[in-house]
Amino acid sequence: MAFTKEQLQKFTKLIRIEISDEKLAEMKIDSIIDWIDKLQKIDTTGVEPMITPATHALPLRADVVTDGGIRDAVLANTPDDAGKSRGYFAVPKVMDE
Amino acid sequence: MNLIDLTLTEALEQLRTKKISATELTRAYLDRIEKYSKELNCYITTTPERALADAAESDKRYANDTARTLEGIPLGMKDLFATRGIRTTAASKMLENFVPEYESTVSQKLADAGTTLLGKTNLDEFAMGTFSKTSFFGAPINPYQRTRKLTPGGSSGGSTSAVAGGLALIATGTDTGGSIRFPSAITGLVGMKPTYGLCSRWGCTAFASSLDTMGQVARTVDDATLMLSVMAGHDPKDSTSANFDFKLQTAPLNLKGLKIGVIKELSDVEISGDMKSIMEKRIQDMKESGAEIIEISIPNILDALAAYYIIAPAEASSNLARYDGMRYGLRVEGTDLIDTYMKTRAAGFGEEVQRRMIVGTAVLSSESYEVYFMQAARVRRMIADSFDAAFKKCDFIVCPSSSGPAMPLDSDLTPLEYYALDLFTVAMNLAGIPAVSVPAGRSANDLPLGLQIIGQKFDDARVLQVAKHIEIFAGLDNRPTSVMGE
Repeated sequence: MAFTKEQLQKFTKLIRIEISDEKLAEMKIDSIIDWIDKLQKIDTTGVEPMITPATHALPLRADVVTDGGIRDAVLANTPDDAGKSRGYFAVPKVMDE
Repeated sequence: MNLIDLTLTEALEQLRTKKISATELTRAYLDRIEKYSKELNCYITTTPERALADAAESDKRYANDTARTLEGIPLGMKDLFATRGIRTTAASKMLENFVPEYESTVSQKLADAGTTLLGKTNLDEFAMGTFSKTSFFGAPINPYQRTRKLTPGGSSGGSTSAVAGGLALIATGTDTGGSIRFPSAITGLVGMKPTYGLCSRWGCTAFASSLDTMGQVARTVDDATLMLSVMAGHDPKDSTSANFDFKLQTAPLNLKGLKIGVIKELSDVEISGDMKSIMEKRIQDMKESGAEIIEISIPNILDALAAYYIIAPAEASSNLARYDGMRYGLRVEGTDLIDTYMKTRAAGFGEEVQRRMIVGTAVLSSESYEVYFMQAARVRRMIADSFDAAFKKCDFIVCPSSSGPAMPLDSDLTPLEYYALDLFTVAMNLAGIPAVSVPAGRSANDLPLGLQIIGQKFDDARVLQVAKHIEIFAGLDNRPTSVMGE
């Protein structure tokens, strides 16, 4: 199934990437979609989708706090230092006055 | 003998018997990095001070008889594994200045085993690629015929370039669709994608979580085996990590009576004449050693590629949502919050990463989720089931690692032509089974080619032992000084 330019632009907005129509066209997304379309021809009736290859037992752990108290480490790579000394991430304003 | 030419096994022997010191060995590698790393571009970050400090500790331990499994072994770490206090970029502008406060489980295990960290190796951005040229830091070069500027493969191309060229003795890699096996094959190295769940994924930058597999790059099968024994093991921090006790097995496995499967559907795939004849030769060698070669069928193996290029981008588009410029990584200020996200992610991600995220979002969108994503997941099941059925008839499977040898970095391929290079490797990621690429011969123009040995889940140790026979049959010289000189 082919996607329109508008649909593709909708996807880029969903993933929050600013991209021009020209650049989007150059990326040849259509050629990839055309190619993966070949899977449609395979009869998969009654086949259970496989979401993970893990068939081994996945060990569970107790539902308890295992770490914490590492505020400075969490904040160490913040791109805006404004909130760092006060213990929070500084982000662009999201509410009007 | 030049210190650089020692294999892991040989180096450990020399270190144990005090013929060489860890510091001498590390210095030999640092000298070679000094000499060649600019040209090969195999490291994004080098850590000479850390390496020398590690080596000094190793020498102490050899002196007081407390040496660990890989004591004093110079290691390259793919720059996808988080290393505490050392910049970890995933070869992306997004993480150009990211210095983790934590250490990945695999890199911690290797450090705890006494390795000496030389630096962080180059790769495709977020491990998305097959030539390592989507790296924000430029592509690494294949040490073979290096003036021709061939690719060392991708995405673990910095690791394979470094090990093949003698700028690391061993290196880590990650394999989501072939990113260890393809680059290892075209640089004359042993590279393995272990069973999904054998090595912890924790602390390694996520690409496609149901496919991402941490593995190893080494010069010999014995080296790869020893390295895997250190990397494997359960990790409570990775919920898909298996509680499996990997047993180091170095006694040779007799081929006599083993059934080796050859995949019928792959025989129609166009591969280079060299690859074809090398495959035939090694199969003949195995026969002569008493293995029984049988034809097996994986009916949908040629559809694995399309299924992979739905599932991997879908998982990536979700995994890469975390790079929002708020808590770490690049931030490009916009007019408001949304605009800041849009500008940050446009500037931080390269074209191939963006392409895959758009495809991933397209196949997950409400109108196409059933048509693409779920259909791919069903095809995935069919492929995994076919491997299960095949392993009822044979013990191991052999197939080419690539269709041909290393290509020039400036090859101008379309996205689909790049994707097609994963044809021989993606099915094993979809199924979660172990596969190792081992040097199997040389092309007419004297470039390395590899074969894969594939086995059942958690049969990794025996997969390596079968690969060892191929290594011996091929008898290739991959000493770094013969690959690219003193």
